[in-house]
Amino acid sequence: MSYKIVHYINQFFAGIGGEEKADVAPESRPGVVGPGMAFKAAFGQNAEIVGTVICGDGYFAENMEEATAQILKMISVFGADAVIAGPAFNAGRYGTACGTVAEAVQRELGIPAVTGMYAENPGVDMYRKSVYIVSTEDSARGIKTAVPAMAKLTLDILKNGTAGSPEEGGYIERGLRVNCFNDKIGAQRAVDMLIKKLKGEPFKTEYPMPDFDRVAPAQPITDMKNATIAVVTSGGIVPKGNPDRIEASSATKYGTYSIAGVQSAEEVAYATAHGGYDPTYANHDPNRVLPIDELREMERAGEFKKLYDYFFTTVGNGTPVAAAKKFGTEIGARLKKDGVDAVILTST
Amino acid sequence: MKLELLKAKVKNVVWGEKTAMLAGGVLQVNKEDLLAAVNEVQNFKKISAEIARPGESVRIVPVKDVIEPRCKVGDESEVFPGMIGDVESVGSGQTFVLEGAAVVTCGKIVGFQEGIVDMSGTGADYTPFSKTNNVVLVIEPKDGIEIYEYEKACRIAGLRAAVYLATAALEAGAKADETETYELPSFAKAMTAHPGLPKVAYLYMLQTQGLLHDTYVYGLDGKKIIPSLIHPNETMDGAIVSGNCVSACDKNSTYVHQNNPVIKALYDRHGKDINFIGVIITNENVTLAEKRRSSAYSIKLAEMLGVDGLVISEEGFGNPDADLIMNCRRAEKIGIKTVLITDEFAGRDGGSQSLADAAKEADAVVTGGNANMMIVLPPLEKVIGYTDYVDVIAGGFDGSLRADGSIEVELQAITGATCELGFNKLGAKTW
Amino acid sequence: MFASSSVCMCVSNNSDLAGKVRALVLCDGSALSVIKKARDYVHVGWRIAANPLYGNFKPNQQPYRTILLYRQDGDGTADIESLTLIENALRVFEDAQIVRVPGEYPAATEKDFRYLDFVLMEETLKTFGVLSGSLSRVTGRDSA
Repeated sequence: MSYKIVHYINQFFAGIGGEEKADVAPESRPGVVGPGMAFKAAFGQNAEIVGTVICGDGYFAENMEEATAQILKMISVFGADAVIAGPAFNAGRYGTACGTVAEAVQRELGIPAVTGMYAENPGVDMYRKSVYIVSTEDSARGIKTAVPAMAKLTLDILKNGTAGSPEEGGYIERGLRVNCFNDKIGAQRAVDMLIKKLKGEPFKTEYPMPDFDRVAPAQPITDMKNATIAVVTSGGIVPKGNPDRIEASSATKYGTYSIAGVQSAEEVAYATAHGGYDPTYANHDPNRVLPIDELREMERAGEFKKLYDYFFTTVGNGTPVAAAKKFGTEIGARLKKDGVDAVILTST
Repeated sequence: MKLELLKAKVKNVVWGEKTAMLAGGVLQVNKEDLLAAVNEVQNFKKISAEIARPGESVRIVPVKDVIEPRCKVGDESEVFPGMIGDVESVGSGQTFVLEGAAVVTCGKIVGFQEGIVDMSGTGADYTPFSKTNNVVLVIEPKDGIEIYEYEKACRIAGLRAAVYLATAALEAGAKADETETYELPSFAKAMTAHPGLPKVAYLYMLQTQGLLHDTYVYGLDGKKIIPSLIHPNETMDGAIVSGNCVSACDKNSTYVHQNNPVIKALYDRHGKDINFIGVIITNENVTLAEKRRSSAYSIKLAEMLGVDGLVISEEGFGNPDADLIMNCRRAEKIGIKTVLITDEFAGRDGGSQSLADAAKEADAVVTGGNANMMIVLPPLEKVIGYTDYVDVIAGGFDGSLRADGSIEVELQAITGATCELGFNKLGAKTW
Repeated sequence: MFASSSVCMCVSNNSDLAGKVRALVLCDGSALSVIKKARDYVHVGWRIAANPLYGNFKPNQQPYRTILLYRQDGDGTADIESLTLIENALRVFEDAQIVRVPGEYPAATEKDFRYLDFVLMEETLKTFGVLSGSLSRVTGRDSA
């Protein structure tokens, strides 16, 4: 039998345009669009792409809930057996959109969804647990291998009801622990492993410990009355108009803004650029995320000496750990250079 | 210390006139004599015995303990010292074993008790006791006795039945099909033996949290011991007895203490790849100070022995995860390389964190599998024991009873399924 | 470590402890809510006496939890060992698909769970000198 598939892509792959068109709202078209042609070839007689749903990455990031609902509605009209999203390669916002759509499709429509991304796409960390994500190259050059892999995985799931192991299915490990029978009993495996470990030979643990990136806590401030305090947020508070265009998700940059003389975050009409939480309360009173009002009061009361003249801000939503580390290192160096003693980090 | 295990291989169990090994590995048991041996224990209203063989359409529930029939041969010491035998040290001389047979005790100590042994079907793939020929004791207590008394009565009854079977068969002329010899020298000799081979010890963690979570060493409550050395052969004579009744999948029944596979595996490699020095027992208490004391003390013992490597096995989950990780960190910190044996509680979908504690030093871990995995047990023709747990399941406690009589439960309900002594082939990997 | 100058507090949703444990703070709700309450105390300097994950029960099985806390003069900041254990326990209970609340099971099963919760903490309560009674649970409980 031939399965019915719906394809989800962004404005760029639909040929609508690049960043300048990223704000286009969801639309639905019958049949294949863009990379859908390649999928059509890969599916052959086994499946047919009955429709394509397109959404601008920017639109999606800024209206996630609403966009997801609109997209789901458009997908459901086609009565499909499965959905494929992307591949998104290394595009952060596109990856997040593909993951969000795929997860929502599975949850709300009860049909399988498959997407494809580069291993370092932030969408991978966000959705690997709930969505099958085929591992792709980092750019659209990888489409030749990504498409057949995604098509095969989709058909496997439809036919067998299971994707098999990550190796069999070509998808990125979901981090799920699955039971299996080994050739040897546990005690023998343990002694084998210990002998290898003692000999300095490579061995493979059966349960990799969760990776904690622990940072040793800094020494407490001893002389708070003479301390200079800074405030840094990943809650996306930016001056009105978001002058540096910090992205609503998968941020690639942070902003540095002066608060010299500012008594309250409200004064400068700050708002949040963050796309990952309900902004109502932050926008109504940005002090809730960037507590300048309280800090000024404490400064006046002499609880500490000075509030540092600048604040740093970015959006934590879907921002890759590597990018966050880079921001943190740069911000830290600047604070140190300017003689800041302590920093308050706020999130959402 | 040298111990010979004289093993008669049991391929079938039948009721009959006299308890004896018949031709073809058939263990014949006189039921009245068996019950008479067990009935010396007080606090029972009723005790009955049934047979369950591999492949039969039989479910045993709720299983409290499983014991291998053993007895000493022409020796002054007795198996299960301090429990039913005297407290003299065991682990040397000869021990007669009815290999392939087991005593299974069924006692409903608390209302929510799990412990399923299915002799056929999916469940049989997961419990090691679907492969043994089982003499099952169903033990009903007198009304009005404290439940710890009931637990104790069940525990002693199982041990007595196991000793009775082995002793009666031996007295009736049973011959060993095979003899296994286990011997380790004194420390003085061990320290200079096998130059060039790394010295290895085994840190054996015992479940000791409290009632229904206890383990006994020479009859002593394990939560009150200070970690100490035990000769591996002593475990083969029942020096360690289970009083652990909850979390069926990863409780170490007396049977696995008697047949500790880590000890067997270390003996197998002794003199070839390692120099197996000895075994340290420690406990898994709940109070933090006791945890630190036991961990510090047991790793100090390992340090005193001067070992290079340590296999550490756990019993249970949650609280003991903290002991396991603490033991690992302390050992690795002083340069003793460790391998841990545990099981996992990663949620039904396998997506949660498997252990309640973690450390980067724990880089070599063997797993007995994810105990939260769901399995479907087909309806079986006969149930031995009490159906209360199945009724509890039907009440949505921990799984579901399906219309066709099959039950869907977490692997945790299956006795010995994810044994943390590494008794099984079951493991887990990341998908 | 516990010293004679310590002050104790026992947070629990196990009603059987009433009258048997000194410094008892009985609360309603699930085991998770007991852990959260204890967590809050840990943050203001209380230490926990025993691992909150005592007992080989899955979080989706056992509705009861008892956490003994203690503090000494001068304890103001959170004890890291206590915090780590309580946070680990919190995670384990939060990950559970089902949260049990006292009263969901048949009365006899509830009684067994309360009894087990008590006896597993009994040694700890004794060590810290807050135990002033004992509990009994006998067979023939179906009539209980």
